[in-house]
Amino acid sequence: MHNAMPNPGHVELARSATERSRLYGLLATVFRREPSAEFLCQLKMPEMVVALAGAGIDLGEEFEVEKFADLAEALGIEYTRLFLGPGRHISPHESVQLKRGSGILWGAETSAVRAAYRVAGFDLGETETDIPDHLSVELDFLALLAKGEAEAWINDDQERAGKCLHLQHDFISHHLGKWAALFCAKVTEQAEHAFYPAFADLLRGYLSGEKSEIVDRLNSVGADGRPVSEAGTAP
Amino acid sequence: MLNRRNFLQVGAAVPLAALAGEALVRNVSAGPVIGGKDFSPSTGKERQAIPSACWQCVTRCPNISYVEDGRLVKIEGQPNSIRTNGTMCAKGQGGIGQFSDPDRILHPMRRVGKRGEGKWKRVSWDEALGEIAERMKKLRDAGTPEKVMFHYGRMKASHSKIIGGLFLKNYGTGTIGNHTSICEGAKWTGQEMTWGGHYDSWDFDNTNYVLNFGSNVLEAGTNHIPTAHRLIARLTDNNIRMVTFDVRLSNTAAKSSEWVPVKPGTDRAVVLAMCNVIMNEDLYKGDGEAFLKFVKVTAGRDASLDDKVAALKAHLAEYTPEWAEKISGVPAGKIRAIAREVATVKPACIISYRGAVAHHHGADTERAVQMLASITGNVDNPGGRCKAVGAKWKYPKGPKNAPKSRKLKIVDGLPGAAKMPTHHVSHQVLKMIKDGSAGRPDIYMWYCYTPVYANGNVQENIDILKDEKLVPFSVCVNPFYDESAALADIILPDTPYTERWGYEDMVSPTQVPEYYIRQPAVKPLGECRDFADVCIELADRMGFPLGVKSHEEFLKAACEMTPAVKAAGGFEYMKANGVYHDPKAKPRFYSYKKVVKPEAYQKDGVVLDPATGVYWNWKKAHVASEEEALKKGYTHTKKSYAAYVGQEINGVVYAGFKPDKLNKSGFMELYSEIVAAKDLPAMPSWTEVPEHAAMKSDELILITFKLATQIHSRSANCKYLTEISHDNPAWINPVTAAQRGIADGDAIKVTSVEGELMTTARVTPAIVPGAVAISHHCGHWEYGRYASGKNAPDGRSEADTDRIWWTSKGAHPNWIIGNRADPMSGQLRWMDTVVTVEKASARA
Repeated sequence: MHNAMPNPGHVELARSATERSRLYGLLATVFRREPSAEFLCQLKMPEMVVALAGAGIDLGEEFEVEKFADLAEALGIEYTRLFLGPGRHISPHESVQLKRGSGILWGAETSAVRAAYRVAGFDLGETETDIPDHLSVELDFLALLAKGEAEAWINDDQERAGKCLHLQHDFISHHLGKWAALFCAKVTEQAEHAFYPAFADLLRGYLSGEKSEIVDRLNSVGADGRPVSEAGTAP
Repeated sequence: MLNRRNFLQVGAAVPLAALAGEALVRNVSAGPVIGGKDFSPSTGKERQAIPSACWQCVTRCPNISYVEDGRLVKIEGQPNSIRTNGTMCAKGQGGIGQFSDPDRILHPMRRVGKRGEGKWKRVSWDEALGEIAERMKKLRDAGTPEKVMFHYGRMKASHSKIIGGLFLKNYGTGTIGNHTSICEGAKWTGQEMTWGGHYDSWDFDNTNYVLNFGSNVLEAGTNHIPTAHRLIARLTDNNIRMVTFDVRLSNTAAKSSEWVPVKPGTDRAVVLAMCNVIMNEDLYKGDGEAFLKFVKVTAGRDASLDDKVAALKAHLAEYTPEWAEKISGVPAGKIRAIAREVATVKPACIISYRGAVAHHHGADTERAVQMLASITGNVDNPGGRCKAVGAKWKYPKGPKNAPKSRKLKIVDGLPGAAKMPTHHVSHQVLKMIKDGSAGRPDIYMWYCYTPVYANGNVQENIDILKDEKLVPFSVCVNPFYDESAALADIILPDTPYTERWGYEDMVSPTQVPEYYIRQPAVKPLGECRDFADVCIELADRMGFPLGVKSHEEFLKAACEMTPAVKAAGGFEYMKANGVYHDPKAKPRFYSYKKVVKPEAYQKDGVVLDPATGVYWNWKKAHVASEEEALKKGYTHTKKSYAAYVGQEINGVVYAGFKPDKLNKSGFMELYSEIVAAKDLPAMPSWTEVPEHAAMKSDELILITFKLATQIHSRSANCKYLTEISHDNPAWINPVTAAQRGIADGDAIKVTSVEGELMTTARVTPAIVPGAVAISHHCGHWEYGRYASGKNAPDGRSEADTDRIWWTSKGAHPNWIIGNRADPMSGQLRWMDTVVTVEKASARA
């Protein structure tokens, strides 16, 4: 039985998980396809600008415009050149990028990624055209796990929250964390606009500390799921 | 001292009653698994086996595609195929690379920079097809559908029926190019001149002798594996003799009992000399003599056997072995000996391919080979050179009100290029577009084809495709970014064959038809779509629905409509089994001997053409009346070959050799009035390659060839294949090399009137002096990392680029080969180019 009012510590953990979910969601959107003018416009909303600046993200002078149609077109071409080809491009797939991995499209890594989704109770839709180990799909998966974690905290379902955290940790350890940094470095080197390096830096920077953060988060929660700092005072 | 025998004695002493009983390990199949099943080496789990079909080369062998955890992991032969008996070549197994190529195009693309600049933007299918449909519809509505040119490389069976038979036909364009002229068009034209419908099937299973002119059957060819594995079995199990005439010691020549080196472009001289020996020594008697009944070697159709023999002897009189020796370099005694062998060992299978026919008057070489097969009685017989037998599918024909096609006359070459281009001169299409005298397409769309790389005159191809005044709008349908895709306006990402449906019908060397299908091993990656499905949608968008919703639906219908397949269990049976043949069917031989029933040739509309002895249906030939038909005659009525019923010979009407593409009679026409009417030799005759006649003493002849591990131009993106074959040094004889101060491994420059290329020398006695040989497949400058060495854009490594240990990508000979045509058939004369070769440092 859960209390009607969630544990205050869980509320904080839920808030944190929601933020993470939204961050993954934002990154998934950025790397999924070419940005629309509307999306770019949303990035320029005051609170977003502040938040990005706080994270050290500078989208560059080209964002100092009123209308984003031209920038969206330019970034669309940039996206294609960087991530789609045709011809030389930076493949956004784990199986191609993973150091000492299979190097081919839909390699063994792709199957392992899909298996990870399935173990967690997720799968790609039948009509989904993206390949399971596409960067944006992996980010999507982490966003869903973090979202599930947030819901679990709200419901005081510490077991489920812990499981969501473990899944995030494992996925970053075994998959995204093993190839994203190198991928992001390539993007930074090759981009002509500031947009993709900015988000590549954000992704790389965030992921670099995330595994230990998750471990800390897990360690800070007692066996009963409550934060360790509160364990002694709970009724 | 104990030894092994002591232990075994214990075994011998064990009473049966002492054993535990039945073994725990049991047989679960009739015998060891020899194919059709596969297991994961890591988990031991059985992999999902999906019967499908290859599409690396035109042979299109049935295969089994294995899927593990949603991933295509392996392709191997279909053990139940009567064509392949479960065998599969390296190219077919390496086809897995078509699926997993990390440089695949996964989305429709539209160029945003200058054409060829390499600047692209992803567009949706809706946007891409919207633009294409709008442009096409405008031309159709204006009454100029011919301004859409469709150019294909590989388009067979159900793909051909949907894309060509339904979509292009109902759209109304007849401006359709193919690629046969860069394959073996001369061979097919030579066959159409002689025995009608093209394609010869080689019955190695039953032969006792193989005589080969320029075929590398063990490494390549239109029916490669189905014939190659049979040939090897026959050579080894039955120890039959095989003699190969080739400029080069190909692997086929090496596996033959004897390799006879021959100067490029002179096979016909050897064949004619063999015919001379056989006729002069009366070796035609027996099977050859009997077959002459069905052969035409004189004008008219009433020649007696004696007349025929006399005509052959007279025609061949000048072609003595001594004469042929001077031309070909083959000793007269050798020609005589082999002529005697091929005439006396029964049955013999006489085969030919590009080495013999991709020359000036290459079609005549094929006619000469037909003559040799005829006078030795080795035509359509067990163990001989047979008429092809393939599956005859029935399928939805689509709307009945298709418009009359209109076409630009740009597919048969430049004016005067070829007199009888029955398979077109498609390598000159771009030249014709540049020429402009026959009009230019507004839209040039190509499919499963690479016009830039596959043809000669590469630089000219690039220049034309880049020029927006010559080619205003271009569409490339391709899963990969090759040299031609790089010059398109829109790229539509096709599915590789690993992700598509289709029925197949390729020739069966058992002379029993095999029905087989292709089905997706996995769902298409990214947004790739089978172009047949795309055509169905384009037709819908333009307002002329084709009556089918998808390729899969078309295939289902075909399975229901084709009696043999339906009886076997239809679509579900084919999905589960992949292949079907009637186990009770008898091999089809001697089809020409079949007597036509009177009701067929006495039918309303059927008349006898007195000049040729052909019964033909004038109604089917769209002639206004019987009177007009008789007045005009069979030979001079447009496309009357399609109305052929039978051939009257000595009062009996036979099925004969049914014509195709030419209004020939039902005889095996070794003498052709149709050919003669074009100011070409009525009978196979010697003509020297003009450029060879004018060669200077320091010049060589460049020839090309194919390896067992690559197809011509669409496999270098397959990593395993390119790891094996990524370089192609030029073969040059030690004598020829020494004259130029060239040592093995030296950098050399090969120069023709078209240009020059740099490569390295492979000095080897496995090529005749005076020639230089460079294989196809290599020298890509696009087509992804494996083919071109182009890495990820920043030069940083990706996992597989780290593994690309090879540094050379080889040389592409087509830069220095002209798009010249055989003046008879239009075939690209791959083997006629005159070059000089020098050590590269000589000029530096």
